[in-house]
Amino acid sequence: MIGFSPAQKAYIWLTSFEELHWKSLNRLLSRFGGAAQLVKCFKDREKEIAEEIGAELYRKMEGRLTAAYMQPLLGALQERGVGIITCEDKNYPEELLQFEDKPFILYTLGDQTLLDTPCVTIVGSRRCTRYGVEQTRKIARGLCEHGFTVVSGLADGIDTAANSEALQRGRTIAVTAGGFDHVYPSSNKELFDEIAKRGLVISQFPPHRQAIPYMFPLRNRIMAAVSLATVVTEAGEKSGALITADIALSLGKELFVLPGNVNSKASAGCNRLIKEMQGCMITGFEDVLLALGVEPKGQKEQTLPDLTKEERVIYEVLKMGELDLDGIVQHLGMSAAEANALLSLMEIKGTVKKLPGGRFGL
Amino acid sequence: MLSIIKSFGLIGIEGYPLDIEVDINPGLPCYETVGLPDTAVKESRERVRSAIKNSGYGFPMERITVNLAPADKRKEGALYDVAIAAGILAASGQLPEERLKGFVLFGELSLDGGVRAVNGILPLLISAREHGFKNVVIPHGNSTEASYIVGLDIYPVESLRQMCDFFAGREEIPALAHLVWEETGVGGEKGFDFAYVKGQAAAKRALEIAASGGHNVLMIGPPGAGKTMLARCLPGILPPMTFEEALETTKIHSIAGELDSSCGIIKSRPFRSPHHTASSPSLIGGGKNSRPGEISLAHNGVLFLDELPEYPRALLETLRQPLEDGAVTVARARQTVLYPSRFMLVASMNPCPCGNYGSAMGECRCAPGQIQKYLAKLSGPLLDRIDIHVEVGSVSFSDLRSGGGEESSGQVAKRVRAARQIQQQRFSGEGIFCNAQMNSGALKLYCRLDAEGERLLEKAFSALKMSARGHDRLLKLSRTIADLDQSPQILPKHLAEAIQYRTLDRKYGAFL
Repeated sequence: MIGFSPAQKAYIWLTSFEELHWKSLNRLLSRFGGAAQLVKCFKDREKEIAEEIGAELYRKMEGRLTAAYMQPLLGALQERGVGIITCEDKNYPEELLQFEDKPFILYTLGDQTLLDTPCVTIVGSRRCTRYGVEQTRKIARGLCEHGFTVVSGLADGIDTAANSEALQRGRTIAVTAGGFDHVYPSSNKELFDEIAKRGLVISQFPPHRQAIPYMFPLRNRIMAAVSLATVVTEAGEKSGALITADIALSLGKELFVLPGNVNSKASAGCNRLIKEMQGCMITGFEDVLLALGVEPKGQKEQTLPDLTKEERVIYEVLKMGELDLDGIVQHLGMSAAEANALLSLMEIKGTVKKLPGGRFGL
Repeated sequence: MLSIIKSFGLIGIEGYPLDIEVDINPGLPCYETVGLPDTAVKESRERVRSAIKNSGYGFPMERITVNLAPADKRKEGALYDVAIAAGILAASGQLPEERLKGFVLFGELSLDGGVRAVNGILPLLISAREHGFKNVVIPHGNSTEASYIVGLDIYPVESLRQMCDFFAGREEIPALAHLVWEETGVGGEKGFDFAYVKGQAAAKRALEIAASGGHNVLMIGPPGAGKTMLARCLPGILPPMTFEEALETTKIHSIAGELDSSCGIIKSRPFRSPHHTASSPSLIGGGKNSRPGEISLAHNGVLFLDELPEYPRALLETLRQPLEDGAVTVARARQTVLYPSRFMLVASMNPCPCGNYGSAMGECRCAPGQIQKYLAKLSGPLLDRIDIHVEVGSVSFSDLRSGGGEESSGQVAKRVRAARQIQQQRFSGEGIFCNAQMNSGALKLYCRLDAEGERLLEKAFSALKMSARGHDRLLKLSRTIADLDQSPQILPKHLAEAIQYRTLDRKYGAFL
């Protein structure tokens, strides 16, 4: 059971009033020197506070300065194992403090200490191509192997590739737009649960809030803020990932962009960034590592997986590129039955992957 | 005077005997037809009247009552015209009644006295024979169809005049020569042979397995990949129909009026592909005349549903019972009719709304949510009945033009036949005919795996994240693959191959 500090409880109470505008709250906080202080003096300093927020709201808040009101609020969080980080806490991302409309509370599920590790954010489009996914996985894997934590937004497409690859090979932080009770997209519920168990999930909004459009740029801001650098692997012309890139730059973070085929609409955003910004282009995770001052470890000897003679034959052919069953059968002169059986065995071993369209690749 | 002529009516594909009673009494001229006649039968009055007059006979100007007994069954169709005319002629003394005894009459009349062909002759004749009749008069246009029936003396007539001359002894009509059934070497129609399909090794193998074990198939692939062409090849690799199967199929097509009168009996397995806008009665059967639906017309053949997600869910729901029972009950106000409907189901679909997901050649423009929704449309009763999922990719231009030798349907059919024979022996006396029909008891008995197989199964489920729902189907497929390999025991390699045909058991639609 997570215990909350007085400051944390204070923020939970304060932010539970949606009518309390953040500008007013900011002013009150600076006047009183902190949330715990504000709450302590709430009843005594009626006049000042009511002047700031209005008499009606003051009366409402004063009436709810009770254990009866707080219990369910705290209970709901504690039951779910939700932790919080307030803007007064030590582990609150520094860069966020500079924003006037900074989130007062960050809700978390999982291991908060991940915020102390070196982080790199990877973002991209929802409508991505296989190229984008593969490259994202490679980069995520490479960064994890060198001790970085990968941050992404749990959205469809590139984000999911980044989060899931990092979850398997290392550590990951997922920042969601809405609250934890409404995972968006719903198809990522399993991934969300896994990251909550073995990584860290962060959201600016309380668990019950559903994700709506205006929350996404706010989530992007957090992603850009918590990490040392942002990598955009594949983004279309109008992708939200480009917003994250902008924010990263404005926060003084490094930005790395992966190019794509000039004809590919899915990489149009990336290609434009590279045109407009000198020096941001990368072709692999090693470029990111070097820019961050880390030496890439030597390429591990590609240990050939344990294969039978026939499986070796298929492996060699697939090394040159994906193939469908027709291609495999033609190339190797096997029957469809034989090829199918071998491919299944190799899939189970993990040597071969079945791709949509009935194709196979390594 | 009263005369009684024998005929037969149909309920579904079963016939029942009919007595056509004609009573002529003195009185003001009038003509009544009773016995629940439908419109066509009621209108026979005009046809009969003109036909009799134009055949040179006199139409009695008295009280005529025609009763089609039994009176509580609805009489449908124009096939009783000839019998009614004969009854009137007999009752008015223009035809010798004794000569008509023991004859069953069928035929529609034209106003000029000609006799027209009718639907359903085959089941009607079979029924007549079963009820012990020996002599039948049928329209000449139905001769080919009728000549496959043994045990009856069948006399085809072209006109009312000719029939009367025959009964009066003025003309000889030879009984129909019997046509001997020749088993064709091939199950399907010409022009749809695997040899004409380039590449598509996975799909062809999938169809070979499907044909061997009676498994239903779902083909997933972009438009133009050749899914329809492949489906049409399926009847060709199924074993050719036996005489009994051909007869059954012909009965159904005859009733539906789909018989080509020149060939008389259906020799190749039917291939039916109803459009997704088809109505429920046209698919299942029913409608005004309890007409057999597409699923019955596909009996002993293949039913092809192209673009499966386009079919309304409710319509697909109605297929569940027939797929389970192999027959469909079409209920109407007064009677229920049972039509056989044992067919192989082949369905096709695009992998996503734009059709290009996973394609090497097109770029998919669908949002991930769209793809999931599209595939989710499938979940349900129909998918549960489909054992094989295979992806059919577009064939590249260079592949299309390559001369490579492709196996012919005939060669594939041989292997299918051998596998089917194994199943016939295995299931003899158990009431099922192929692996697809096995229930869980049969699975336990015939699909036992050895230790290596069990290990493989377990690994497959966890490594490939397969859903448990497909477990039984995986075993059935493995059994069929083992049969094709002439192996009494299911080996790991059979299981391994079967896994490739359960694509949808995995989390499809995510290449992540």
